[in-house]
Amino acid sequence: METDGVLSIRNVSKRFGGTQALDDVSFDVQKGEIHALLGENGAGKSTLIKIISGVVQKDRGSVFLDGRELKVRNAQQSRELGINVVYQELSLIPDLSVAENIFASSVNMNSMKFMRIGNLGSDVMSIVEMLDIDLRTPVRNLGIGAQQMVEIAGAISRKCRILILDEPTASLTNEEVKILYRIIRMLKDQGVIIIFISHKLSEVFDIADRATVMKDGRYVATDRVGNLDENSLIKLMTGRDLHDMYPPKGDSPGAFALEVGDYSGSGFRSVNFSLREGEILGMAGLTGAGRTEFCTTLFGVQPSTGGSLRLFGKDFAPRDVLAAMRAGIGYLPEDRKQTGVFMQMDIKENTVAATIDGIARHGILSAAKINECAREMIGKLSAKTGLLRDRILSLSGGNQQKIVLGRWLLANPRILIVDEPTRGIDVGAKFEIYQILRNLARSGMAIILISSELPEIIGMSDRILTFYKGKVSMEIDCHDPFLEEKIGCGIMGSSFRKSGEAEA
Amino acid sequence: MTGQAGKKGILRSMIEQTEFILVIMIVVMCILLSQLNEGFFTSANFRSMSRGFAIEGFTLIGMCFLLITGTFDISVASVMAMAGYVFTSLAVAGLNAWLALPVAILVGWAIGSCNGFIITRLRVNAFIATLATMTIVRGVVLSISQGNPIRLATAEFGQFSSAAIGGVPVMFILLILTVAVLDFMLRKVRWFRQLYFIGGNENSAELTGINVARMRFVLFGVIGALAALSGSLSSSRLEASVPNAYVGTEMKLMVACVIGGCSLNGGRGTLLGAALGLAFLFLLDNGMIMMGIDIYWFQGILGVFLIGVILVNTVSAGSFGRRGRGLGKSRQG
Repeated sequence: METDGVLSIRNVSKRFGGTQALDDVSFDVQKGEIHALLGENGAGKSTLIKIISGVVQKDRGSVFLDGRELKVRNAQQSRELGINVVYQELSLIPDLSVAENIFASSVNMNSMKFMRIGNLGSDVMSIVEMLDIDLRTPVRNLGIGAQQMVEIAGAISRKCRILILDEPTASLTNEEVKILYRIIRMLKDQGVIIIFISHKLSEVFDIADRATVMKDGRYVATDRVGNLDENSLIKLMTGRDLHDMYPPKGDSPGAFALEVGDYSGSGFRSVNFSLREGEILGMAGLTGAGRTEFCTTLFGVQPSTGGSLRLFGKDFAPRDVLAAMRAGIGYLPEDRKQTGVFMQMDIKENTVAATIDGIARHGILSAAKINECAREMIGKLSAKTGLLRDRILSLSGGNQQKIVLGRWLLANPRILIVDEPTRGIDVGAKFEIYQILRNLARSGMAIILISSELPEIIGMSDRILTFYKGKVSMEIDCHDPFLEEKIGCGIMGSSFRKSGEAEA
Repeated sequence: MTGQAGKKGILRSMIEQTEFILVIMIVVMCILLSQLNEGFFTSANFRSMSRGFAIEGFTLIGMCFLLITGTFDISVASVMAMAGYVFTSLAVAGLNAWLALPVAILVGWAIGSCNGFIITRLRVNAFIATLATMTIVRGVVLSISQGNPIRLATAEFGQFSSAAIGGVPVMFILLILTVAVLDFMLRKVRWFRQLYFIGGNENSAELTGINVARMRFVLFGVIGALAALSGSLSSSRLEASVPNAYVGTEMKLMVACVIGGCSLNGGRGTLLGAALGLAFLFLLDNGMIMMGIDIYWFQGILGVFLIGVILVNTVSAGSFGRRGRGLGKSRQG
């Protein structure tokens, strides 16, 4: 067998304490191939990457490149071998220029004391040209997508045999994703081995040549992307069919939970709609269209500038978050890391954070009561957790999200706002969160769902509002025959004309 | 089933507690010192140590609270000097001691509240804001006193520090009681528990209905008042105000808190731990004096110790040795 330029993973196993993170994993990645690595959180993808890049040492097995065994002790060594990883969390220095950031990761301290912009390689230059950015711009001034590109430019400015991208598109706009694809294809043509991790399956079909699926630390299958479809991939990853992904819609919504009249605030204006008990109302729109701003204003985070709210038939003006909570509103924030979890704290405290008022008797907390509440909620949401006093960071993204969701369910809200509830979590956990949300609606809760994923909005909502530049541009029933077209128009702020004229 | 596993966990977690390790370290230190110097286990030495401990202990409470919420106050030493000056000046002016103390504390509270206002309302970084007040307050004390100490003539003012029950200084007893009560409250009472949420993640705390700015504002006022209490007690003990004293106290207190399990990122630590940390530093200090080691070494040892503690914490948190980019916050999956 041809071994030149092939990365072979052979019988690799790794154990972390009680969990078998990797169990006898073997597969090959060819030279000049874009190889998608897929699996739910906890499937072992990250561990595998860390082993390839030398950050984590394997217990058993071997990794071969060009038929020679790779013995990598640390990240530095792996870089010298040409293995580069771009992680989801950026490692750029915001106040330094683009050029300095690219060099910061590539410059070898021994051989080069001064930095010369003119010395960038041609690959790096072509990336910079594609992005149309000035090398002297401080990275701080770039959008998050461009920053990601700078990170990649940094990676390939070094010797690059293997490029591993860990969810590179999570924070990119569609335009930026296209540029990223061009960069990846350019590298592929040069024979670089590219391993690509993503939770967005559509991207796998767009860009990857082959895909390997992992599940629970074990290798499941590798196949050409052409032989696969979304359904078969999801089945491999979760053992579940795509058709069951979204629960059936609700039937008859109840009384008015919320009536919004000409409501305005920073980022949105003259919003009108009503929300009924037992209903899931989807809010679609581009980033910055005012959905999140509207919901956080409703939740009392910032003041409104005009209009009225009626909550269960009574006038309502949230003075602050606490007032909104007491009135029966809950808000699952959009960015789990920044505004959701309490990172240093343990699972039980994260669960009871919003209900600490109710749990305390005369201001005094009982550990038993906290445990009981946390355990009950974890059971209800079937979150996979270790001990209640383990840190929340020890959990996977999906389970962290369940805990934050559970925090709000404990508060027993009558209106629940969920802002990007499935961002960055795996397919299996997504499915469970959809079920939970629908069950809550069935039990009479009114739910507002903000999501940037159109399938999710369509699959979950009973009714959909589209936001465009701070205003509600369209209201659409989920049984509308032109649902998708209408949402597309609403998001872009154009009006809908029947049968394909929409784009004109 | 789960309940049993939980109980077993509690036993093990007791051994893992920072407090437990600190108690052992303190006991070992005491045994060691008593072997090395017969002057150590004397009531005079313990009285002296407990006085010093009590004086700094009050400010420690405030520092520990702030660190739990993820912030700190480096102006405390200046506030101590200022309060000591106010306290002694009032004494010289002939005011009743029981009136002079509250006035000094009020001054401290006002300075602390200024810090709180600058930090929570004007949104200035806590380090910069308290650095500024530290400099300003110190400057003011030094200029109005011209750097000269004021002697306390009246014995009445000395009573705060000299009073003792059965040989144990009253202020030490008071401190221990306060620490005990507040430590309990930090563990069990909602308002105090919320400090951990603020330190854990400010934004999340805000979104769960906690008024972060108001709580921080209150805490800065409290630490100002506590520092003023410490300064007044210290002047009472020294029978003089010393305008240029206490420099470095803020660092010592922060080191004590970190040894006791606090993190500069907030969300962690207990008051008991911080108090034990400070006790340990006092023993270290005392031991060095007893053994005739140059006391200037204390600063150096303090630094070494701090690094040591942080290393131990990093190792036990399992993030040691995982170098490389962005891997400090490792994610699963």
